[in-house]
Amino acid sequence: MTLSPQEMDRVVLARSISKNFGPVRALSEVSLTVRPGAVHALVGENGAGKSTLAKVLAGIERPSAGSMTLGGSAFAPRDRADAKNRGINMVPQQLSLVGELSLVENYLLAGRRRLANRRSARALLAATLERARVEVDLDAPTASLTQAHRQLGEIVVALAEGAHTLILDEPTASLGPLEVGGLFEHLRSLCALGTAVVLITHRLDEVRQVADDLTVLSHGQNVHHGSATGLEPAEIARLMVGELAAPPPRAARTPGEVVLEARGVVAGSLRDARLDGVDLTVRSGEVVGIAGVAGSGQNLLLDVLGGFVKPERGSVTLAGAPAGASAAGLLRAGMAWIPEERSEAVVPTMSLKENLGVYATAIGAAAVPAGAPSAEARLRAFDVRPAHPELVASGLSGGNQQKLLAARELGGDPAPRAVLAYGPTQGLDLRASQAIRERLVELAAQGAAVVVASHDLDEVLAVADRVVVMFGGRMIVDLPVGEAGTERIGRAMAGLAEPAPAAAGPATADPAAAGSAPADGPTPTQNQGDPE
Amino acid sequence: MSLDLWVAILAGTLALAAPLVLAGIGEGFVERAGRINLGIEGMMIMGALSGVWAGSIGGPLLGLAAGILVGLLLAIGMNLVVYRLHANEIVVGLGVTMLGLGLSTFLFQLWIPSGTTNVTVQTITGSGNGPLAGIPVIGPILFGQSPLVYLAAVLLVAAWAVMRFTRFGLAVQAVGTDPASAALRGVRVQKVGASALLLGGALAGLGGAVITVGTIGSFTPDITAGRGYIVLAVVIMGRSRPIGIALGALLFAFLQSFALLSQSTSVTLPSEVYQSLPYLVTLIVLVITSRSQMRRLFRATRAPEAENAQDARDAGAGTARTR
Repeated sequence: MTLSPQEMDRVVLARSISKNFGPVRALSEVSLTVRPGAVHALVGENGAGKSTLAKVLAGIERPSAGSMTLGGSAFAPRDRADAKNRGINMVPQQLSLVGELSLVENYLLAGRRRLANRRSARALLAATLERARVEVDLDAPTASLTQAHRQLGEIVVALAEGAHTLILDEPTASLGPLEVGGLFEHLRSLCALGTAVVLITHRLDEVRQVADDLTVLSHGQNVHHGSATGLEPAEIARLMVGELAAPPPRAARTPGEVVLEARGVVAGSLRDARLDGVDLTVRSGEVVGIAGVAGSGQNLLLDVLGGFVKPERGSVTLAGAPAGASAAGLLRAGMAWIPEERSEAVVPTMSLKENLGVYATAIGAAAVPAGAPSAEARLRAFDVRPAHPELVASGLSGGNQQKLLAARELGGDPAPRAVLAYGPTQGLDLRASQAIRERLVELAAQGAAVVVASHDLDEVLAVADRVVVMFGGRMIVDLPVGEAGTERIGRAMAGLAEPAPAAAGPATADPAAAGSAPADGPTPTQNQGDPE
Repeated sequence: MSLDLWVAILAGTLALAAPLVLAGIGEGFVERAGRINLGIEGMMIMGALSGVWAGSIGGPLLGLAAGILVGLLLAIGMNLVVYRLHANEIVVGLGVTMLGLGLSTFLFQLWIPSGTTNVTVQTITGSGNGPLAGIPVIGPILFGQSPLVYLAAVLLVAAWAVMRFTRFGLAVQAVGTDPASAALRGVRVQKVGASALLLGGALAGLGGAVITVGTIGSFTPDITAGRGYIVLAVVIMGRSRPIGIALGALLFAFLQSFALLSQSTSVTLPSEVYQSLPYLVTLIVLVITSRSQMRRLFRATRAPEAENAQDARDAGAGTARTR
């Protein structure tokens, strides 16, 4: 990378940074150049050292070895405030806005003046908003803002504090596609004003979308440092994880008897679209993918299937469980559950071993049956790092907590009879994601009925045998994966596809009715023959 | 009951509310910083004793200063034990209260052995002869008060201004509601909490000194009579806001004043009933306000979560929900 003289005086250079945590070497001789006015993507697997490097830059962690310069002079921040004063600020993964205070007050909170002058702070933030062409409510408590606005608000506060180099740690992890697009536009306009942005991300397509420079970390080492242009996501992935085995070809599986069935389910919730007569049949050996934009009812459907929400009308049956069984009853009958919010399923204050055994404790099973795999073996099987059974779960990174959850739900003995998973690979890198998907397919091959819901269409298409699209609380498409092209599903997710049948209720989800839109190619037939 | 009696009751209300308001302002800061000071009763009574003692040496102003100092010292000790040595704040708070009650009695008996005459100090009394004090009814209630009552009112406004217009006030709120985020923003959580606790201790000591130096002029064991706990109740009732604290303190003080003065009227009830009335009513009001607070809290924590999730989804979907 060549630098113009103007760029030189604000450029952040890190040379041979190493960081050890006890015996663990998180970073090893990593060098990095952050140019002003450019987006620098920092990618790598879970645990590759991205966040550690970012924390070193932002002054939160001190490097064990190596040096940094800022605009040519030495830069060794004592703490975050010190780095902030030099113009380097980090927006952490866990946002640092105080929920009860407004953005203006959050800005004043970290200021240097003793008196809080709301008016001038507000004017400054408003000007920053305008420059960055963002609109966020400055006076509402930040807890009442949407996730995307909080993210933007955090960035705006950092800019108002005088940051010329912004480090964003996975800002897009909790944002929807539209919000991500908006955020990137803002980042680009910030760069046009000369701000440097370091963007940590898992999503490789984002690198192509927005990044100018790219640093790839792998196991704490810098494996690529340079321009991001001309690099395809596949190449970046290869840099990150080495050669990734292609997903094994889909073995043909013949669906067996019905394991999980919902009939005419009507249910409501504050968080999701109201289910309006949903029928779903999942057979043994089948992976059903539920696609749909967030808030279309798929979350509630999974809650109903899992027995967490009682439907107002209709029924849910799991083979082997009594009709109308509670969530605990379904659990005993072999239901595995991976919720969208992993905090609903992982107990952060318990050890990894206790988290794995939490159901046994709840049910009252006294001892681990002889011959069952040890906690450590189960953790290793799902590559939970570190695989230390006595470690407290909150000590794991987000991705590793997700792996822990998968290890409990999918790696149990006996294998689950039915699996409900919402975004089972969220926060995971490519290799770990692929492992989880393979495990889901393997469970199906062993006879489980698997339901995978996700906002990420690629995830659904990667594992599902059958794709169901939900829109506004109804099932509007039910297709075998072979016929479910991305475009077709995408249209259905936007509610554009087949016009909803006139009659509401059970007919809505009738595959024949749903699939027979005139504009949409041949009528799918595979489900018509299924005995209901 | 005659008008004069009502005037006396209302004038007494303001005088009795002053120590509650002073200690309440301090405890308001403590509670908004997410801590609780159960040692407030002990700090008040130690402040009351040291106020009389110093007052007998150097006059009432020195007495007030001694009250502040003793409250501050106790709070420093409490901060050290609870937040440096990580002892339980409830237990330590109660310990400070018990220590204060016992130690004040012990020191008082060392100072004035039983059988000797109690020491009386000069009190800070109202001017009583200002031009406005002559106005009937309102005059004696509002303008004939001790300067300490006006001090309490001024500090009330000052507390509001500090909460709203200073970085310290914002930091206290941030630390109390979301210490993790506050720390990430660069607020020093421990330091802000300690400042709030020291402020609370100093004002509790002042409140105690105001009871003795301000109105009574002498110390007797257990003179605070549970006012420290009433302050806690008042702060919780008033949701740690200055205006709420003032209203709560006035309510309790009114009942107390009423109980004191209406005993002399023709309504004859056992005096114990009168004495327990303020506490009983405070208890009832506390239950009522706590219930509404719980409801508000529940809405505040649950509803936005659901809405946020919904908003995020709506935004992600780019479509309006149909239902």
